[in-house]
Amino acid sequence: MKSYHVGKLGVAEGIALVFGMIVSRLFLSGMSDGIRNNGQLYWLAMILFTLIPLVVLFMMVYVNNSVSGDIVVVCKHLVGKAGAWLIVIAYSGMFFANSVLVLRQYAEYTLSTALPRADFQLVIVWYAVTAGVICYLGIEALCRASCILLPFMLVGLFLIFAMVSPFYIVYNLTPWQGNGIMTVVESGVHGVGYNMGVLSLVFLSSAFQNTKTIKSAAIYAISGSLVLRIVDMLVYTMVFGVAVGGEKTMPFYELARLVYVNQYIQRIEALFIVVWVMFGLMAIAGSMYMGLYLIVVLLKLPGLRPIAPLGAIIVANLAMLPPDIGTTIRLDQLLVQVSQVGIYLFPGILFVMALVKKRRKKSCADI
Amino acid sequence: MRKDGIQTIYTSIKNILVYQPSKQPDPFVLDENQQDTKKINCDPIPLDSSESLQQLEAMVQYAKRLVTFIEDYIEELHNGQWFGKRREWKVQYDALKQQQTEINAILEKKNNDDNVSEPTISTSLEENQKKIEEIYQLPLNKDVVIRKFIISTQPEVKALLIFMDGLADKKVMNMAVLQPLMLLQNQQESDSDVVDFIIEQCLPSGQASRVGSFKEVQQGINTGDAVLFLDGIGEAVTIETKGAEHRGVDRPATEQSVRGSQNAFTEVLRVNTALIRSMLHSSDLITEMIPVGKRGHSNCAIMYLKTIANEELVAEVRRRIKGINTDIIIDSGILEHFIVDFPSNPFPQTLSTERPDRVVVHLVEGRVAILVDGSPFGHIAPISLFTLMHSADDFSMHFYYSNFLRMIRWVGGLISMLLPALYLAISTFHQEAIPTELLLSITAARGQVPFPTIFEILLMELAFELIREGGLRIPGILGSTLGIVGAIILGQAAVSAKIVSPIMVIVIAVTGLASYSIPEYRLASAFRIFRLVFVFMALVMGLVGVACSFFVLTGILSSLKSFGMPYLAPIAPKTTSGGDVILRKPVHMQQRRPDELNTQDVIRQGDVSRPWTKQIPTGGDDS
Repeated sequence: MKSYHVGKLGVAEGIALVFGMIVSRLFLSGMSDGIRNNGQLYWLAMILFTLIPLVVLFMMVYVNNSVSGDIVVVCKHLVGKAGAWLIVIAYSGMFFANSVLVLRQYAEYTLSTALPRADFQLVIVWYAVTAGVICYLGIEALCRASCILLPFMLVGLFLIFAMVSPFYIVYNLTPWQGNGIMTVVESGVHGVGYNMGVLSLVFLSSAFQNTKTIKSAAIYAISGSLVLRIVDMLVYTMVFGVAVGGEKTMPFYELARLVYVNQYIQRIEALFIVVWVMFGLMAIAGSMYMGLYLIVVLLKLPGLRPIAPLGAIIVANLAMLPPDIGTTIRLDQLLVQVSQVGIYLFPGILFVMALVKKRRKKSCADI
Repeated sequence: MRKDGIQTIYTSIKNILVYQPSKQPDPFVLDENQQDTKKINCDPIPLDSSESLQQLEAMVQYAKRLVTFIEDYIEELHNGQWFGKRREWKVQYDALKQQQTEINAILEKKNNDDNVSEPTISTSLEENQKKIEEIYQLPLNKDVVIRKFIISTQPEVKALLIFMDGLADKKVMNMAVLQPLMLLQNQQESDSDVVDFIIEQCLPSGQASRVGSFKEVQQGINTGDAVLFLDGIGEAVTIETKGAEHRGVDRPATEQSVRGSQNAFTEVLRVNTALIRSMLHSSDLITEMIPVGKRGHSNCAIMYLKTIANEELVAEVRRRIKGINTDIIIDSGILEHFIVDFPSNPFPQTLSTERPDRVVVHLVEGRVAILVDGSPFGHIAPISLFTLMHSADDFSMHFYYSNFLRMIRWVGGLISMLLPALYLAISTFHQEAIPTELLLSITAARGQVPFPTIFEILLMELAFELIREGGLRIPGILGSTLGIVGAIILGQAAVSAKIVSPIMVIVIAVTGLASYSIPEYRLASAFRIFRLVFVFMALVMGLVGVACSFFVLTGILSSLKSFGMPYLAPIAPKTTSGGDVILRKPVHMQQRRPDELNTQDVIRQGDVSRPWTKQIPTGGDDS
């Protein structure tokens, strides 16, 4: 039987949280960039940048289990106070930056596809306020709402994949080597930042039932997202091919525009706005919550709710800073590169320190 | 030192700037059944009770001194030496007297604290009568009847019978109370006291019990019982004589069913509890009565199955009801607002029903029923959103058909909440999603309407709500007729006058019709409120607005709890389903009780609930 204590989230909630945070870029230009750079073999890069964060998550779970307490306590114990501040602020910044850049890209996406006459600021503020409200409601509300809506959203996506089947050209998947295996491996190693959201499970470990829950949620979420990404990539490539597909900035929207079943079921991309808006909200709210949560534990604040509106205001203002969508996409790619620090460097240091401390403790005990 | 100073400054600034949440106890969470992990409460005495301990010690010391003093005095009296020790006795006596004054002050304070300073019944009949006259403002108040008479026991006892005219049954009063007591001749009083004698041998009434305070006396009189005072006895007897006029058991007015039971609750609490008990013949069924309201003591009944319901849940319901501090509770709807977790949320957090059969079904699942005297609606807690979409006769029909009806209800619920908003969003922002022919038709119809779509929606919503509200107020059967006629005429006239487009009439009519498919009236009202929210969101941001607000609404519902149970369980959080959530399994396959209720007994029926299918029939074969 299950306990309902506040903060005792289960596997389904964990899957929804991570899935929402890492799948949102499926609708953005990252997909077409990846296809342009890697060709038909992009799926291999996806496998790589999915497996590496999973390994890193298991390392972080080990680190988290070696010291009891939140992430700040763990970091203080392993790398000292200054190191802890550096690591936690860096992670918080990465999550905030993710929130800001996803928000900006979704706002641009909304302006281009759904509300061409809407005011830019209004769209930004709208998304930020909605994400702020969700953060205010708490992690339980965010995860459980995502958990309920996710199946419907996935059905919507797979419906699109099925309805564009008349446009599939299987030959577009050849040559299967794409732009070369080394390029793909390089992309896979550098693209781990796309999946940094999986670490949120470790940071929020006190909210989950136990370590097994975190591990199961991570495995299901990340492998599920991998399947979805690969299916999307293959469908997209089959429909548009690498040359054309690599040029498009709104891959999913372009895919949905092709749907023509009969004169009554056509131009349904507008209806699928609901799906990608919800994916976007999950990513923006999830990242914003993580950014705020890390600040809260770092400063030992009594609660997160009072700073949720502040977080929303900051995110909205930062999202308005990039002068155009081109700059935003470049910044987003930069963030994915910078996020490697959060995947390789910090967990690596913490893991090594945890191992060293454990060995020292053991040797002391032997003496 | 310097570090400490910086730390102090940092802490001071933080305390000034940082929001400090109000200190409130953690909200109740319906947890696992703790039966197996019960521990004896060994909590130390709290520190703030040290003063009480000192006072108690002082009283014990005083008692000891008093006993010693009396024992010594008796001994000296026996020895005949008391005269020589007069002065010594006097000093000790004065000291004791002084100490008694202090003790009295402590006792008085304690009595005030414990609220036990309720006036107790006097041994003097006159004093009791005076007190009753004072409480009920007699002779100004004409409802209370005071009847004096003499009971002819040996020796004779003067008696005073008090009851509320209209609430007590006069026939019972005359035949079962006054007649036996007044016609009592030459009866010898037994060794037991007169109160026992009267209760056990003289009163043929169903219930008679001793009471010791005027608070209990008032409760009895106010609920229709008669209270008997006897001269020289500091207690009274409450005799059950309830007999107020009330409506009989009738058919349900708002929860009609085709094949289910046709009984509905009435305004009398005891009739309602009896209706439940007549359907659930179980000695496990507990009915607790809790008086609620400082001025008007309404009785509130909590019903549950002792061996099934979670003990923490029962204790929490009891705690919340006992913790109500208000003048009067006259309706179960009012009570609900006092006891639910989130009273400002429009979504109902208890299931309100007028059907005893529904209450019984939920009691057996492990929930708790709450009934209030004077209200024909009972409440069931805790519940989830899915429970609210179940109907009374879901289990009376084949599960295929009842599942089909449930799907219709869910579609109806979504239509009632989203259709106007979706129409507004698509027709204003996303016209490309509408098939071309339909788009042309809508454009042609809208072409002659001079108002924007939002105005049309609000106008039609207003008209619909007026018809709905007016239909309720118009007396008798005219209400529904005028409602239908009004809707048709208004709709037709509005279209002819080109105030609204025909498609808008269809949208609002379908929305209104869909809202009636929701079985729970309060849930339909909540949907109606959120419908307007969605309309305004769609007005600003089209489908993006609808999607955002739907996400937020789901978040709100996810964080909502009904008596500690998540509102969207067993979907979020995911738990083992009892086989009756959105759809339902056949009854014989519903082995478990809803897991989210954390009942004491999880299994409802065995894995093989139809063992006869495994047995060999006794009849002949086909040959």
